[in-house]
Amino acid sequence: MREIAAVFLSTVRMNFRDRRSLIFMILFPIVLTLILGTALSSVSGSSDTAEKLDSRAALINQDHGAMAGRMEKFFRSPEIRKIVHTKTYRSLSTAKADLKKQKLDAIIVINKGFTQAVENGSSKKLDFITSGDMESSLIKNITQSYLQRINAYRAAAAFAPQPAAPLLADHALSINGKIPRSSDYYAVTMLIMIILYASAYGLNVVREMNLSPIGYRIRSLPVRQINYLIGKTLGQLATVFLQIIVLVTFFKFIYHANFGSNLPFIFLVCFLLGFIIILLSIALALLFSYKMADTILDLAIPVATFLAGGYVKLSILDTNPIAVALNSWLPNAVAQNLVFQNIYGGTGQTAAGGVLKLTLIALAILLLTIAALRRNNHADLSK
Amino acid sequence: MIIEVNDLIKRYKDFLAIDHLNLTIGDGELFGLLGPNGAGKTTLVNAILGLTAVDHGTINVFGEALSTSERAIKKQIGLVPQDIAVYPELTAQENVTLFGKLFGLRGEALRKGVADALEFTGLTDIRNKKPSQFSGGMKRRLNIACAIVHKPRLIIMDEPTVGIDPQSRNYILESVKKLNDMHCTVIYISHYMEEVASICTRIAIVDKGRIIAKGTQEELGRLIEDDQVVSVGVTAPDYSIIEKLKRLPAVKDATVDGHTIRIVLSERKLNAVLDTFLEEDLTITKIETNTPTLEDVFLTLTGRALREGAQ
Repeated sequence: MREIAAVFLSTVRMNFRDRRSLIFMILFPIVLTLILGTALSSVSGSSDTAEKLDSRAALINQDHGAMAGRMEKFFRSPEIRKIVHTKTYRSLSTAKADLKKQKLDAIIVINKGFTQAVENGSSKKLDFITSGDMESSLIKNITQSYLQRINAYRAAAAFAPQPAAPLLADHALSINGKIPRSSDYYAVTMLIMIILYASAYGLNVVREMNLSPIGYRIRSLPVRQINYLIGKTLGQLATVFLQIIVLVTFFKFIYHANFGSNLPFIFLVCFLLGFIIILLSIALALLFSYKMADTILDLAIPVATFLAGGYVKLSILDTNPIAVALNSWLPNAVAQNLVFQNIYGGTGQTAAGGVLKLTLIALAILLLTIAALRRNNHADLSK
Repeated sequence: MIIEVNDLIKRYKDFLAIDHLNLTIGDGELFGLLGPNGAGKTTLVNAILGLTAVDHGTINVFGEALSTSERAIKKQIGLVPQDIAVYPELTAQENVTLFGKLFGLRGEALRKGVADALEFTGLTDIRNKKPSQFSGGMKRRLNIACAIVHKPRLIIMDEPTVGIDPQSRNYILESVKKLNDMHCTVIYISHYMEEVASICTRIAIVDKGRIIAKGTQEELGRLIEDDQVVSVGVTAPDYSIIEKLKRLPAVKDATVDGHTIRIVLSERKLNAVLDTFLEEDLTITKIETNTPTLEDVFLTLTGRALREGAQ
């Protein structure tokens, strides 16, 4: 235990003296959030982007029932009209032509039988046709939030113990009527992304142990290699966690980004993600090589961030079954959705379910890392 | 005995790094391991420290097999690696303290161990500075301080003077002798013949994974005591003369170093050598005869110069 504590403390001390890493891990996400937040704000010339986006939707009501009427009324309400300009179309083909000409961002088709489906509690879905841009994603979120309200009424009416099936197949960013400003959105996604880049700390553990003169010296000491690695890994984790606290504090209290009121939950999610990425990078570096693991992670992190909608929220990520399947198990996507749900509420995975999923992933990676370490322990110090 | 190595074999695929090596090192010795790069010196150290699995043979350290009491044995050994193995982000004192803790020191023993190690290596005044602010010699001294903080019975120094100025080299060599005077057994590994010759009480010459000679400097010198080393200065050395010289029965070896041709003779017969120079019409500028050095011993035994490396 003393060995672990000595290595742990010295690792944290060294990490906080390494200015280059600190700049990357703390300043980089802050600057990137400012850039992305500002860039997105410039679309509408305001900092409060989401509320001013000039999104245009076609509404085609083929149902004409009471529930469909209420939905039409919802989209014509003054609050919603500030965000989405909805125009009623009779013909789907005309609406599709306008979508192609980019006169529209999305088409919402209320299919015949929608009212009856809602009243019966069946999951008759709306058709949602989009151009795939940022505005269409926003319209989709608003539509979803309205449907969630209907679901809630329906569930309450039926005394259902759990929410009824959603009417719109969209489980991605669920904001339940509250729309994040671009700065809020990127504060979260950049936080998640920078935790992924903590892989560098994990890789550093293996590089030091297997490729540096210090690793050679450590092996000559009366120290169990596993204890050294545990101390080192815990030190890296603590560093990342302290960086997360610094980042969240900056975003919340200086940048005034919305991180909700349950910060301990957000820290738990971030810690689990940090644990996963550091152990994963250690396992990859042990199983392949430091260079190979570095290359894999350099490629995988931007892809995983993109798939989770970290750079831009594309609606295709919510509709493409492959992207949906990947996002449901990608640790960063799971963590990101958990944070968003914690701040804005919404359906999809429950908080406990999401945390359980992250814990399961963390345990699987831990087992993989232990296996890789055992292999490394038996490896010869060959030339 | 501090170390007993019996019939050790270590292979890296088809490369035989250690070839049936036997070695004993007694308590309090300052033992030199001399050999060119790639001779197997570091592999032998790795085997002694249990850092590499061996294919055959046994190693006992402090009378015990490493496999049975590895931690207890390692607590009494200090390794000074060939490369600087300290943390650049920690100060000298923090580095020595961390390694002291990893050797199991606590409390007053740790504090005293750190202070003594820094004092011994002359780093006390700059203990709060980071290695990045150090000269090459200071870094080498810190490398040593980290290995002696726990006052080990055995110190293994692997090329501790590589790449430093003569003043720092002398400081380190003096420190090695002081450590030995403090009843610490030292294994000093180098390919610098003059270093090994100046400080070691006993020397083993390693080549191609084998110990080709061992003993005190005098004992090694006696291996070629009948030999004579002649240095002949010429204005324009002709490399073809080397082959002709090597064909002479009395010549064991001949090499060119700038304008000097160095010849090892097994018999003190210079006539044939000088005739060869005259036949080649070379202008002789000087002739010197020398007592054989360790370098000559190595050259004679292996046919290669120490610094030719593993080629």
